[in-house]
Amino acid sequence: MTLQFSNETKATFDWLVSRYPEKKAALLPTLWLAQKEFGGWLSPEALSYCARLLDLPPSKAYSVASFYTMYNLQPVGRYKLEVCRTLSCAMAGAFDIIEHLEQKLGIPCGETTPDGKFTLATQECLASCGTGPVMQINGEYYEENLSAARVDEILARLP
Amino acid sequence: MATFTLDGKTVSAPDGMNLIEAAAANGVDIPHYCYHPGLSVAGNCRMCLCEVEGARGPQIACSQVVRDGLVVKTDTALVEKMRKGVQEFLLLNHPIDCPICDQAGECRLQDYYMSYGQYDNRSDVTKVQKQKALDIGPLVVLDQERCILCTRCVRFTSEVSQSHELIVSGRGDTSVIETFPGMQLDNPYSGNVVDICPVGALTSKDFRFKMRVWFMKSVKSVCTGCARGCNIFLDEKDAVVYRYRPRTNLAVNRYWICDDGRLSYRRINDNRLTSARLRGAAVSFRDVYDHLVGLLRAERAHGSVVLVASPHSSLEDNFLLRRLDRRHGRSMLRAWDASAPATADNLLRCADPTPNRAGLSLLDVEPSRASLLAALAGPVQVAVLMQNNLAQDPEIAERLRQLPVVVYLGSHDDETAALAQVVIPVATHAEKFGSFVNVDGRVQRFYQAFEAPGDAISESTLLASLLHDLYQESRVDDVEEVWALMRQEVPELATLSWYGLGDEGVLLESTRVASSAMPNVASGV
Amino acid sequence: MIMSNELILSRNWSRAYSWTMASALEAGTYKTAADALRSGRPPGELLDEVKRSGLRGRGGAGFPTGMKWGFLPKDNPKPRYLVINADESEPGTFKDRAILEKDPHMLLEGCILASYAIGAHACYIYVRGEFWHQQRILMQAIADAYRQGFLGDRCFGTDFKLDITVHSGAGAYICGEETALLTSLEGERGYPRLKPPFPATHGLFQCPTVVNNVETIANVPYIIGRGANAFAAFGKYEVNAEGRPVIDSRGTRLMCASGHVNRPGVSEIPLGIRLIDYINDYCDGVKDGKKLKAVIPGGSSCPILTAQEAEQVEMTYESMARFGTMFGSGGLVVLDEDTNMVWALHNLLRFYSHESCGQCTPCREGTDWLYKILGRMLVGKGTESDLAEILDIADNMEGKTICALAAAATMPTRSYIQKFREEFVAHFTKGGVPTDSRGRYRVPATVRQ
Repeated sequence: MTLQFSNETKATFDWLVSRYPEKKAALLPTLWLAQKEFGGWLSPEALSYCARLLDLPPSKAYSVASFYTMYNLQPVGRYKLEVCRTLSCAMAGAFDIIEHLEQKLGIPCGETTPDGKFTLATQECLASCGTGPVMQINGEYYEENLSAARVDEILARLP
Repeated sequence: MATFTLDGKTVSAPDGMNLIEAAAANGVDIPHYCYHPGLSVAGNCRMCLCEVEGARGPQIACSQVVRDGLVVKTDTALVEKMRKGVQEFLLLNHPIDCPICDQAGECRLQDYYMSYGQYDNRSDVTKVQKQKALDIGPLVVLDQERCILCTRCVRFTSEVSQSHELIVSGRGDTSVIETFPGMQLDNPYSGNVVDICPVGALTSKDFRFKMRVWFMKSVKSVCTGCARGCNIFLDEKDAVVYRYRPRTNLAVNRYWICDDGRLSYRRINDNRLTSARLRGAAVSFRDVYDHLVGLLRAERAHGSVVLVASPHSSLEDNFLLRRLDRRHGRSMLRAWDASAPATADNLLRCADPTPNRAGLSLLDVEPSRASLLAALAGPVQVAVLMQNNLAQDPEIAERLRQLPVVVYLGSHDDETAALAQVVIPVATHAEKFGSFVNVDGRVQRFYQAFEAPGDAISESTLLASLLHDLYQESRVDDVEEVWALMRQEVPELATLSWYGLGDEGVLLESTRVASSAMPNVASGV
Repeated sequence: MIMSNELILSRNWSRAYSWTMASALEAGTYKTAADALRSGRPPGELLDEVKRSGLRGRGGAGFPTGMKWGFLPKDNPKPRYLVINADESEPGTFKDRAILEKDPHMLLEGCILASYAIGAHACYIYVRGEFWHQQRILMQAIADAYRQGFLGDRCFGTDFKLDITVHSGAGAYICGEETALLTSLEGERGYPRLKPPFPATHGLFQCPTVVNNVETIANVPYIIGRGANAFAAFGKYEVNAEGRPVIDSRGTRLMCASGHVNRPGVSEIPLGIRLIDYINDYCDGVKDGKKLKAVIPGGSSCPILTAQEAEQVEMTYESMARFGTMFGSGGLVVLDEDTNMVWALHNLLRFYSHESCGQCTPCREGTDWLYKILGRMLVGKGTESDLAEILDIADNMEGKTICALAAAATMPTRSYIQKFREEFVAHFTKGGVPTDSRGRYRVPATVRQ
């Protein structure tokens, strides 16, 4: 099975590449496109594909992707829940949220529920210090007055 | 040249040279892990921090270039503390498993602990766990826990071999050296990462756990894997060669050798001829020598001899063979090599698989298969073949079989030894002093590492004895005496001596040598 | 009490749909840029104006912006780049986020003016990957600006060409360091670079480059439009008898308040006010009427201030320096009397350990070592000699690395231990306090085990 961008994504990719004087500068954006297009994570095949598009060795794509926390190098659940645990959020009760989620989902941070619905993770400062604690669901911020009860409500609404 | 101050002394070094090299040139060692002269500067290990007057804080010597007026201090309390600190950080998560580590004895962590570490252990934290004994390629094993992340190996595969197999993945203290999932460190130069790894993270599958390095003796030698003549250290113990390591020669191989050459040491150990044979029966060296003298003496009176020089033999050996040919008068000197061409590339590897083809050219001996076959087809009584498995070539083998006598001066028990009536075991380049002329016309010396096995003798010694016994030439006992003769007969060598070749060899200015080079890619090193 | 500060940067925030082009046009955004470009004002004039304004970098280091622009080589034929650092990730800081969300056009106008001033025809805005929502707003703003003819081959109908591209990070604090940001922008691991060479000569794609923070650049339209003096009228500027500035903190700053305050959030303050006044007047004081214990004045990397120091310090670069700390990125975190300082430091050290790029030995190993020692202390297994050890490890890290991340970890570490030493000792004498008096400050499971 060979991975390939859809025509629309390929057009976005071509536009991205045109924004930089050097092709390889488009690596991070290309990895973003691939993660979105190929199931929320970057498999070795996806990394190779990105590298090929940019005339880079696949090892470069892997090395770069592994540096950044937002690229998933393993499959993740349908919803990736990430709770900031840095000082301001922690002072505002982030660990209550984290423990609540661990108990509710029955998994420790860093793991995915057996049904593949949720992946739970902690995050470092998300620049929501004034509105913490903050939880991200697939990148979307949920902040201000986040509490265990609010988290339950939010999760209940997820399809 | 820049004049600068190093630890209070006024010294000089070429302008723009980096401080590690400039200090070394002035007798001051600045410890370092990540810096390697053949790679780009990474500046990550921080071991070479020193004090530079006027700079904002300590500076790393590897990225500091010298210029006039620079004032550097490497002997202060601060520098001592910084080195100790880096050493402590590096060992914090290191398994400290020296007894079971193959790098022991040539590990910078060990060396620098002794020189710059020596702190009281104050770490009680759990060490970060990473993967061990990872099979990452045909030649190399990786231990991520021993790795200090200096990235020399990563830079090697990206800058030198340009094969990009090794990368850093992850970040912070969970960073590791890795290959792309499912891919291997597999390029013609992969073994070099073992040499440049300053610690026990990358070790050689071939050498692992065979021998402690401190029991071995290292001898300066030249690789015989191809015509490049890469400079090497030959590491041996008790007349067994355990490995080749590249020896820096900026004019030839820089800091590297290829994997084929690296493993070609095995030839010295394997399948050697150790005793003389006469028509298949083992005989004493005395007997076979007397037989050979008798043969050549008889052939001097009647019949004809073909002497076959070899690009595998040293310049000295071939020179003495030519001398024998010239004294003999009724012989023919030919040369050929029957081995298959090697794979060439634009880094080091040459298509010519022999170390001394240019040396033959220097002696006006041009290898030619047709000429050899023609000579063998004539009224030949005796063929003397030197260090060359010519019987690999079926047509040559057939001609040889038809000759009354084939004399083989060979180091290995090969097809030619099986065919020859007279077999005299000879030394490899590990067992004698001598020189080769490489593809660029650079004459390079090699040292004897140990005695030849059994009755084996160097071709030069044998040929010199023949010249003495047959033609009353004065005895030639060592390589410099052969050079004394060569100086008289080979104009390009008129001002040279074996010892005077130095560690880098001498590039000969000779059209004969230049034209001899087999068509090959330019030395792009 | 001042509820709203519509000074320079936040003056459009209260507008309806303030992030839209329609709102921006109504507010007069882009007028300054249009005038400057259409009238062909010499770029050098703009540079001089910024220099005279005394604008200092708002990202953390506080380097004079005009001077930074002036470092670009005059005779380098390579293209020049303007790079905007929107990788806001210093714990406690969320001001650039506010600009991106509420007034991206002010930033874009700043980009146009700055690019014009330095002769850049390409500008990249490096936004942290987590800000995908903010990236959308910004990209919409850029698209609108192109549509209006403010960007592109003929900005405002002039010969000046400028392309602005949003480049998304992907989760790495270190990419806020300017050379790491450039490396990341080039498609590499976000490793800080050896300096020299500096970005001014060898920046993005090895070309002359200026890297400025979002807030810094957002000030530029005001400075160019109303003049350096109008800008400098905000803040504090004092010279000594020789005419040398002793206080050079001109303009305003976006301050971010979080932690134990009644009203956390971003507010724009004129530089020079007292820190305690900021907490009381802008943040409604310490939460729940508790007593103040300590203040992180400018993001977690800044040495912490005790309550007593916080009473005295003024919000100027100089006053902060006098108290041994920094203005940093304006991320102010208030810690009340119940805060366990061992816990707080442990929390931050995990952050630095997690965010160390791993390049330099002292930082890669040291940040994690400190974090682990603090973890042990937190559960009560510590001794006084550990404190000396921590300070010594910190000394072996700080200033020994390529970038300042090691120092960002060690500066707070040292200040916490030096200023709250008794508390550290009491903590492990008592056998550790896993939670604070509110019972809320949980210790991560990994440490509890």
